[in-house]
Amino acid sequence: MLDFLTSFMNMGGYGYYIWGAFGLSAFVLITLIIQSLKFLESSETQLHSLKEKEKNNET
Amino acid sequence: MFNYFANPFRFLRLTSKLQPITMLVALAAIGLGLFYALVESPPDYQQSETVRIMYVHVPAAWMAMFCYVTIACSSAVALIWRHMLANIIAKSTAPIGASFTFLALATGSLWGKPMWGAWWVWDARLTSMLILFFLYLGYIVLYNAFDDQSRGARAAAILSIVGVINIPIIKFSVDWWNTLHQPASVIKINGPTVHPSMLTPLMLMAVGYMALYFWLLFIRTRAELNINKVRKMLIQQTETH
Repeated sequence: MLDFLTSFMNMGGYGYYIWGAFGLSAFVLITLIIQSLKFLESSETQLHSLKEKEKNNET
Repeated sequence: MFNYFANPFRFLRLTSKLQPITMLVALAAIGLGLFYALVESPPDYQQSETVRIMYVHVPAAWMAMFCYVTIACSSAVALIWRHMLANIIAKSTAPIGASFTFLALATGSLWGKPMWGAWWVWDARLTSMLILFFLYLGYIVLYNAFDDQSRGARAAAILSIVGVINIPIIKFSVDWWNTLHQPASVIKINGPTVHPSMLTPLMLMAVGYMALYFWLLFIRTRAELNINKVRKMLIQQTETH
């Protein structure tokens, strides 16, 4: 099992390049997902608070 | 059909339904694709294990071009029919496309070093891809450069349409010039010349990246529509007071 893991991480001597490429892709795409979800959330809070304010002004 | 979904309310209803579906497709395809890419597929006879970089490099490059064409097409729609939603789709696509372009360049560099012996060469394919990255950055900067949002949107739309000339240059750069980059081996007239054992993870990752794009697009367009509503309400408020 440990042998399999070391050879898997080593990737025939190209481990740094291969894991670098996969790791960087994961990092960039996950950051983009988090940023997009936060953007949606903040836009919803802004809209919600403005609607609340408008309701209060009417009453 | 285009007119039907051009209504922002119908669009919102549709995207909120499609959002979880695209998320699941993206997660499933990328998850399965990663298993095939890293475990199930064989090493290449020439490039040995480094061929695995292809599974994150090629789909990213495809999406980089797909996103750019999407921006140019919706920009054309926005300029001709003045439709707000078309601008929002283009604006929301830009950061996603820029990320894919960055990943295509960076993973290509990580592949180039062990195979070509250089992180970067000024080759036609690489240079045209770098220009694509700058086009994305230019689009994003221009869109936000004006106080009047609609002027920024127009200027950015024109830039994106002019820049679309770069897309066929990227695609055919490997045929028109002598390059280090290998020629097309999947999207070609006589069908792909990649063995099924390598085509499976490549296609799974491509489907996953495409679904990921739509998931992110739906999230970002919904956010932009909210922001538009906020802006309209604030203008109304200042007018009534």
